[in-house]
Amino acid sequence: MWKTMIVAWREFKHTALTKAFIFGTIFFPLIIWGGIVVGSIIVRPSETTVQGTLAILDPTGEVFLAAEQEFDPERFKGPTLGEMMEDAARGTMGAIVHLDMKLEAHTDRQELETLQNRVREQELLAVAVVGDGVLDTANRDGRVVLYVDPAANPDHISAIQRTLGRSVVRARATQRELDVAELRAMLRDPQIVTRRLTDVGEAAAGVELQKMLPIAFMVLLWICAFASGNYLLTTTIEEKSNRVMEVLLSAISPMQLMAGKIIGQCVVGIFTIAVYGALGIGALFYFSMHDVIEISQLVYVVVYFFMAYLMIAAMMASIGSAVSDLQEAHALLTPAMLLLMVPWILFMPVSQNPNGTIATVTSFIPPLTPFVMVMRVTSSEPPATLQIIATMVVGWGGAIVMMWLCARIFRVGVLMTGKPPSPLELIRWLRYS
Amino acid sequence: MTTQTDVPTVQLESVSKSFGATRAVDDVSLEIPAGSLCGFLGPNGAGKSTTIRMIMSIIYPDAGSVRALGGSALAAKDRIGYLPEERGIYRKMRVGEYLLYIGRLKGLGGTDLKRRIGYWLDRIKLPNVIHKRCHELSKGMQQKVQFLAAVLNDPDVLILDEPFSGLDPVNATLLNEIIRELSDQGRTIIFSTHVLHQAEQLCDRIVLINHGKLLLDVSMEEIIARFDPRTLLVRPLNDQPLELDKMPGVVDFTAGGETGSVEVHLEPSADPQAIMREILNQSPVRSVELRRITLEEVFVRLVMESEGEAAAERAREELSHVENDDRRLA
Repeated sequence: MWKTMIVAWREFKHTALTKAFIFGTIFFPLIIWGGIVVGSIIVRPSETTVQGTLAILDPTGEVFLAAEQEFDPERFKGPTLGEMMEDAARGTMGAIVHLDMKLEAHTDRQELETLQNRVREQELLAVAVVGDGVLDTANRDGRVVLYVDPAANPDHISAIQRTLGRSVVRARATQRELDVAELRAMLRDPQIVTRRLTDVGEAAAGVELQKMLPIAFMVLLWICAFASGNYLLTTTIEEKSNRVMEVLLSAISPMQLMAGKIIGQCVVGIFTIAVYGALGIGALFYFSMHDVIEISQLVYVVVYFFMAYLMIAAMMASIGSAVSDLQEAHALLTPAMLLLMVPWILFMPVSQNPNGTIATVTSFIPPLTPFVMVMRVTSSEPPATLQIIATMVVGWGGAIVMMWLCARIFRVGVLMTGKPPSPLELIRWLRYS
Repeated sequence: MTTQTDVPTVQLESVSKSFGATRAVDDVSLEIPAGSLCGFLGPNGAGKSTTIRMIMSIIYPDAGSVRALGGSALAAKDRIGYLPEERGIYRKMRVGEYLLYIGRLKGLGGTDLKRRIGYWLDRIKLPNVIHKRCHELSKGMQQKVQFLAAVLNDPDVLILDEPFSGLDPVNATLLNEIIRELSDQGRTIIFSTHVLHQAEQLCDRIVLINHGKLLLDVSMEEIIARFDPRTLLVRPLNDQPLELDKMPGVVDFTAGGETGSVEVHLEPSADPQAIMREILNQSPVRSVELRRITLEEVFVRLVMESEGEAAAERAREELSHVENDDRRLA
């Protein structure tokens, strides 16, 4: 057992304690995550103040009176969150614009041409022409036309448009003797908070996140198990191609060597899952959404990781022991990769219907069991306990059988050189040992 | 000083091993006594490496049993050192790190392991390489590091598969010295080679294998006694003719070798010492010596006895090719 641990430590050290691994697995996600957090803190839209004169051609003068209040620099606090989101959705989100403008009142429509010329001469910033019937809510044709210089800043135009719009609403309310502030408060959408009732109390729902969680767990499981299996494949091939295998086998048995390599790479996988898991959980805490994950789900992820890893490791160790270089490995890797891609095809139907026929049947097919089950048990509709136990038995049974087959191929394969074996020859090897 | 005993260190009983249709080892039984320096000889593909791998429990026989140090080699791996024919090393690992790893796998550890690594690196004349990566070393240096990995655990049995292959003459001599030194310390050394003259110089016991079958498993003394050619080599002085035809105990003689020597073939009952004295009394000679049989001749003779003249001729050709290839490499 001690020798197995020595091999395991070497595997871990030469895989995980390398610059490439540390940068790729730890620093790169940390940099991305840190970038998002820091970016959200330090990157704010720039702020500008618009100064100049806006002429309002309003025959009734009601809109002008309202505008005087809306354009008051003391009152103006910039766009609301909703307005900013609307801008973002339109792809027009820009700077936060403060208005510090003088207003000129005009009532005679014949002044329009003169006012337009003053805009051209840049004496005025803009001219707003209030159309007839703007204050009549039944009249859908009522409008305000804003004349601006062609070189005017789009962010400034948006700010003026918004404030003119508010002015019209204020004028309408005043005409009907309504309190504008109260009216706006009445129209504001309330915040809807969903709480999920649990056995011990209540928790935040995070509905969208809840939908994504099973897929995220499956992807995490797949990436970590596959990456570790892939490292196992490459280190086994390296030992064969460097001819160091026979030296190792003079000191330890093939089974000790295989067990050591599998344990070492398993620790690499656990290490990776811990890093990504911690980053994910850290992000949930940062956004105060940690209630969406339960401890039992994390336990399931770890249990299914071991199951998935053992199955992938069995495949990769068998292939690695049977070939002499990576090029030869490709022929045998193709069927294994096709099998490993199935969870990616299944994630949509399983996440949409975690207890449907496809999800239930594929839960009992060992190479797929851990990936399908991790999605099902972390979904909002987990399967019955009996089914979880049954799939555990099938999954672990499958993993043990795969490891047993791998051990038989490994002890023959590690000393074989020359032409890579065909699948039929691999079956023959099972009889040799 | 060799301390050979009758206790067998390695025992094979009716061992056979096949790979597909090829029978690599065919019903081989042999015993290697403790303390012996045993040459495991035969042409390429004879079954030497397969037999050695079975002794090391790296592969298992289809039939028969293999014992090493009184039990399974698997249980005694920490007491056996092994240099495989196919040299292997982790190319990106540092030399010290590689040796620490192999040493730990051999059950060593702590400061003793580091002390041994330091001692052996000096002994095989590889100072200042401990922090170098293995791929930075020359092929010969890598081979010496691999030899060091085999002896690091101070083994009771040392198995060396073609240890001189690819070494330059200086390093081959150094390795030869170390092997003798280890043998003098009483360790059992099994030394496989297809270059028979190397074994003649080094070994006190010979195992000959051909086509997976055991041809011979005896001590060098027994070989000399059993395959004594009953021939004297005489180099006359100043081309003075020797009157050998009427000398008692002489069957016949052939003259005209490259060095001007004369081969004198003796009767089985003749006393070589008495005939040597007689020749010296007859006329002054440059040298007179008892001709010793080479392992190559023994091998060819055994093949001829077991498989016939044609097979012996093939074996002779195979050996001469191997010998020539080896000389070219050197």
